[in-house]
Parts: sequence; C-alpha cells; structure tokens
Amino acid sequence: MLFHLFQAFVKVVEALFLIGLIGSALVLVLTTVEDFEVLIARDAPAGEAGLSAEV
Amino acid sequence: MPSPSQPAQQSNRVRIVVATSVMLTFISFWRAAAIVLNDLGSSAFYAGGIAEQAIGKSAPWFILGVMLFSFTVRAVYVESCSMFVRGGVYRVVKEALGGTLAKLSVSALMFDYILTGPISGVSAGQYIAGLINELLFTGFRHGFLPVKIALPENWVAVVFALGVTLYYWWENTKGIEESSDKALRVMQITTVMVVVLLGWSAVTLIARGAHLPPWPLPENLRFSAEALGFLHNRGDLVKMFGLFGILIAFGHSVLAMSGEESLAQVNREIAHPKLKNLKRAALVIAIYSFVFTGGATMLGVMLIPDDVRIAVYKDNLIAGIAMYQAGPLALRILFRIFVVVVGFLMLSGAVNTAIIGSNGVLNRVSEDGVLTDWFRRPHRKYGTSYRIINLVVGLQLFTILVSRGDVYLLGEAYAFGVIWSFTFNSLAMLVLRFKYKGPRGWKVPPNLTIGHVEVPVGLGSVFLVLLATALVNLLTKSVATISGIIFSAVFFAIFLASEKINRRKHAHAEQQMQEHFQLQHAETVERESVGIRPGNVLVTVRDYNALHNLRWALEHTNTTDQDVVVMVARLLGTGSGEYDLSMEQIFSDYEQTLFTRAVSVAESYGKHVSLLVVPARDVWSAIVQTANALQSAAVVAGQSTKMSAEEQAFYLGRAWEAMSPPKRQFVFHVVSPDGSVKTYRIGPHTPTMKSEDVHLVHRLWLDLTRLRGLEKMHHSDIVTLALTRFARDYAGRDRDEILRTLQMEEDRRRGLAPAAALPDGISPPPPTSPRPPAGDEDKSPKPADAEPPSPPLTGP
Repeated sequence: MLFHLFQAFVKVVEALFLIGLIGSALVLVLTTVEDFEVLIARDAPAGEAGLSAEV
Repeated sequence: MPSPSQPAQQSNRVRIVVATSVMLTFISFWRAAAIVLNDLGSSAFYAGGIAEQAIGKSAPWFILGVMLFSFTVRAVYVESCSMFVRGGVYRVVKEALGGTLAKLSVSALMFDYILTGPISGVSAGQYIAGLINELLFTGFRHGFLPVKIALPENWVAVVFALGVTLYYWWENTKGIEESSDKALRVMQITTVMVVVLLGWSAVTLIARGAHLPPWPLPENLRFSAEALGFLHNRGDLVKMFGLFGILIAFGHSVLAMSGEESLAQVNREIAHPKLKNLKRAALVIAIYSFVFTGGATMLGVMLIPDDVRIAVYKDNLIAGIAMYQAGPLALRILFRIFVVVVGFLMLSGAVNTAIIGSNGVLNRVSEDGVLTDWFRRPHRKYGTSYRIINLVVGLQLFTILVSRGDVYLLGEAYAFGVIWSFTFNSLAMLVLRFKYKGPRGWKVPPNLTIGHVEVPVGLGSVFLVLLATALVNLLTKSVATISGIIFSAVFFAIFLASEKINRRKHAHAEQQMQEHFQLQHAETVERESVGIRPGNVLVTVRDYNALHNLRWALEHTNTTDQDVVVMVARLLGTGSGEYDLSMEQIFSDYEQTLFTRAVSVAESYGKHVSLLVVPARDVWSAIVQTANALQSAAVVAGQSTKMSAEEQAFYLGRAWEAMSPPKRQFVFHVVSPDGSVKTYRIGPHTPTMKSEDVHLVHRLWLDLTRLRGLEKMHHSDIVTLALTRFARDYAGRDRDEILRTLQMEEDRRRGLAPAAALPDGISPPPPTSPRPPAGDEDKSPKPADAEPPSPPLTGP
C-alpha cells in the first residue's frame, strides 16, 4: 500500500517536473532574448523618458 | 497647516511628519550585479564538490542545468520587483498568501541566511587549510621540512569560520558601512581569476585532450547513501523511476543558485530606468554565474583525476583545478594562492552578507510587529540592532561548531532554505497574477489568453519545477529536512508568540502615542509639509540619552526668526531596504521615547521644534537630502562615538557631492558632549580669506589701477586672473611643482599647529579622507569686510 502511494507520488512529481521543465525552457529562451536586447539598447535621455518615470 | 510660529495650537499633541519613502543613493546596474554576484558567485567555490559527492561524476551537467534554470528564477524576481519596488519574499508572500505563510517563508529564508554564513566561512577555511597543507607538503618533498606535517583541514576551517563570523559580528555591531565600491572591486578581481582559469584550462585541455563528464542519464548517477536521505534503503526505487533520479540529482545541485534572492534587495537602489537596469543586472548575473559556477564545476571533473578529486579537493575544487593545469609547479601554486585570496574575499563577504541579510529580514518582521521591540532596541553606543545581530551570529557560531567543518553537511542543509524560499516566492507570484490588480511593469512570458483569463504558462512552469524539486528534497535530504523543519518551526513559533505579545503591547502604546503625538504622513520630505521656513536649523538625533546637540542648537537659535527641525533617520538594513514601511512601523516605540525627550528639552527652553522621521539606508545621504529638501541653513549633529568630527564632515561632504542637483550649501556643526563645537561648510562657498591675502589683493589693485586703461578694474578681476592662471598652470607642466608647493605649505601648517587642528581625544581623519570633499572647517578668523556677520547657526 505504502509502495503504491509512493509510486503515485513519484509519478505526479515526475509529471510536474517534466511539464515545468518544458515551460521553463520557453521562459529561458524568451526572457534571455528580450533581456539581451535591453542590455545592448541605449537609454533615451532622461528628458525624453520623463524624470519621474520609475518603471 | 499651522504656521511655524503657532505650532499645533488647536491641539496639545505634537505634530510629527513621518516620511515613508526611504532616502537612497542610486547605483548602476553593474554595481547592482556586483552586489548580487558576491553572494551568488560564492557558491561556485563549494557547490560542485557537494553535488559530486551526492550524485557522482555527472554532477557538472546538473550544476549547468541549475544555472540555466536560474535564468527563469531571475525572471520571477524581475516580475515581483516590477510590481513592488520593494518586493522581497516576505512582502510578496504576505500580499498573496497572508501573514501565516509569510512568516513560514521568512522562517525558511532565515534558515537560508543563517546557513550562508557558516557554509561560506567553513568553505573559505577549507581553501586556506588546503593551501597551507599543499605548501607544507611541497616544503617536505623538497627537503625544506624535516617531517611531513598536515593540518586537520576541517578544524582549521572551523577556527577560521568562527574567527571571520566573530569579526563581522563586531563590525555589524559597530555598524559596518555598506559599499557597492567594495563589491565591484571584489568582482573585478574575481573576473581576472575567472578569465585566467578558463583560458589556462582551455590551453591545458587542448594539450592533454578533453573528456566530458558522463552524460546526465539515470544510469550514470551514483548516489551516496546520504544523498538518498529517507530512501537510502530503497535505492532500487531510484533506478526504477528514471526521471525521479534526475530530479533527485537536480535537487542536490540547487544550492548553486543560492543568492538569487539578493536581486530583490538591491532592486530599490537601482538607478533610472529601473526596470531596464534591473533586467540588465539580472542578465549579467545569470550569464556570469552560469560561466563561473557551471564552468568551474565542469573543469573540475575534466582536469582533476578521479582518484584525488573527491579524496583531496572535494571542499576546494577550484584550488584543485589550479593545481592540475599544464605548466610549472611554482606557477600553479601561485595561481592557487590567487584562487584562495579571491575565495577568501568572496566567501568572507558572503559571511557578512548573511549577517546583514538576516539582520535586515528580522528587523523588517520586527517592524511589522512579528518580533517584539526588545529585539530591535538600538545599541547604546553604536545605534545598531545588536540583539538581532547577537541572535543571528549566535546561531551561526552554533552551526559552525555542530558541522565540525563538514561543507557537505552544511550544503545539504543549506539547500532546504534556498529551495523553499524560492518556491514560496514563485507560488505567491502565481497567486498574485489572479489576485493583484495594481500596476505591473513586466510579466514572465509566455502567457496564453483563453477567453478572458490569462494563463501564466511561464510563471506556472517555473513554480512546478521548484515545487517538484522542493518535494523530492524533503525525501532525499534527511539532514536538511529535519534541521530545516525544526529551525523553521522554532522561528515560526517565536514569530507567532511575539506577534501576540506585541498586539497587546501596541494597543496600549498606540493609545498613549495618540494622546501625545499627531502623526502626519508624507511620501517625501518637503519644507511645506513640515511647515517651516527656509533657512532653518536641522538637528539630527539618535540616542535619547545624548541630546546635547539639540540643547546647543536651542541655546543658539532664536526660534522666532529661525525654525528648528529635529530629525531622526530611521536606518534600514539591506534586507529591510527592499520594503516600504508603514507610518506606524517607522514611528516605533523607540522614536516615541526619543521624541518625547526631545520635546521635553525644547519645552525646557520654551522653544518650539518641528519633528521629522525619515527612513534611510545611509544616514549621511538622508541628512544632506533632508537639509536640501527643507532648505536648511545649518545642520547640527552630535559628536559620533565612532568617528571624529572631521570624519563626520567628510562623510557628509561626500554624500553632498553624490546628491543630484539642485543642491544648496549649508553649515555643519558637530557638538561634543562637553559643549565644544566644530563647524564646517558643506558645498562650494566663498573661501574665508586670510587678512594678508586680502591686503595683497588690495595692494595689487592699487598698483594696477594707476596704469592707464585699468582705472576701472575691480578686486575680483585680480582674483579671477590669478585663478585662471593657476588652473592653466595646474593643467600644464607646472602641476608637479604646484602640488609640491601646496604639500610643503600643508606640512608647514601641520607642523606648526597640530594641537590647534585637532582637540584632545579626537583622532585625525583617515589618510584616504584628509578633508571633506565639499566642506572645509571654518575656523580661521574672518576679515571684517569679507562677509557680513552670520547669525549663530546659519551659513553664508
């Protein structure tokens, strides 16, 4: 009984991990490309962006 | 708004303006990245060795996998920081899941922070002990030593870790000055080491041939008994479930990304444009740690032979890499010494970060009423929250002794705090996607919109990986699970009990406070909100037993003409700086007592004072920013117990220089308990000219105006010409000669009157800071016609 419970737990955790890994790979690619563009882009002068704009 | 001369006459209560925005100095994304990397990068020194002991030779692939996954964890932190500029675990979890889970998540975070110190200290000790033994062995082999001597590395590491922890305990008790310069410098040195390490290793691998570690497949995993935790009797299960084995191995490598949470701490200080710079910092951090931590672990397996890698270099893997490079032994030992120096700098820095971080988080929960005010009471002499520091350091010293220098044991336990604080944070962010309706600067992609519902695919995926890893770690990391649960439960119980006590106490205190004070909230400090006139006197106070500077200011000020503002800078530590505090949190029991005393002093002189509380990360920056915002003519501070008046003026002048324009000059008075006062001018000002200089200018003017065409010349024209020629000579060939002459003049001045420059008991300023950058002491006599006489406390 305990073994079957453990087996079910393992299957669930494996499924969560696998789904999560696939989604995380997407996050990795999308955010890295986006952030790399931000990293190499030049900022607009403060006057244009608005001095009070924090975000 | 009541006028300053008619203070709150409608009520007997004293009005206090409480500013809730922390006064910060902003830093570039490079500096922010350096601060985070000092913490995150330090795990490169021990994560590889720990992972290989647990899962075998394919560990580097898992470390690389974890470092890639850390790119996604950083995205979660970027989203949380784009929602709350002060978005740490406690704030985010509390917002999403309520106080109980927030307390639980902070307990896990505290476990992480408290273990960061011991693991870093012990690891640094292992690198040093390993180097000493290597040198002793080399000495013996070459006949310099008659007998073979080897130090017990674990105990050397324990002694070293205890020493470093105690050193930083004392520094933090005194109130260490945090500096992004230091972090940047350490990262520059580390980068040199990383470049040499990668370059030299590439040459060695080309010369000897490269062999990659076994691929990260279930059949290549070699779990140690400890690595299976509660499953150690059922190793067959792990083989049966292939992916489960991979998951266990991933869980044993997860500590490589510890330190990522520091990103939320530095976010607040990042300069405009904040979100863009945060993303830049996060990307730099992710790439750097991928290359450093992932690369170093990979090179460890590729360069160090199997028979010595774990046996000799398990706790100082990078030192092992240095020793197995191609080249002469002397050069390899030299590089190893460099590695140990860098390791010492980074890992000792991490010990300090752990104390500062724990202190900050506990201060924050204390301010939220979760810990009693007893913990937050400032040190009488240094004003730091020494009781919290004592508690944290006490727990760290205990952990170091219990670990007996075993880095593996510490690493296993450490992973518990790391994974659970990440899991709580990502769960909270997921909940907030549906619950939080406020502004959000950025979202973790991708997001699918089905009907009217947006499904956070990316954020959900990151959470699933973290959750699965955290659950599996519960089973496979028995030491971490038992110690982590006990620790978190004890902290959680303390938080619950303290909160209950505080609620009762605060209800009474609040009633008392409301009878005496009227709190007025202001987002930022403005002269109008404080209700004072320009040219006021700002008096900074901290210790209610040392209000002599306030007494002096009141004695020398006619408050009918000039307002007096009493200011308390509420200092926030690194961890707490990421959060915004509520007005009641900023105005706590301590401030209440302090202001009660201040008001009594003012009443004893029959004079009115305005009261102001300002949250700040840096006291100097807070003072100059407040003085500027209030258009103060003078700032009056008490003599510090930690530094001389000259040093106080130096730090204030430096903060003034760092402040963005428009900025105003002011006079800075430092009052010592015996009543003596030293005065400095902060900011550029008309120099006080000696009477012989004035006469010289006058003689020149008399002589020049006799000449035809120069009759209408002014004294100022002579000064302008002299200065212009001086600037030209200084920029040209005569620079060295000018400097020599000035130095001689300075030496002569100091040699003639050293006692006059520094009163008894006041030490001279440090050699690197000879005088305030924008303020010089005003002690030479003024010529009668140079300036009109100033009121006692105002500047020119």
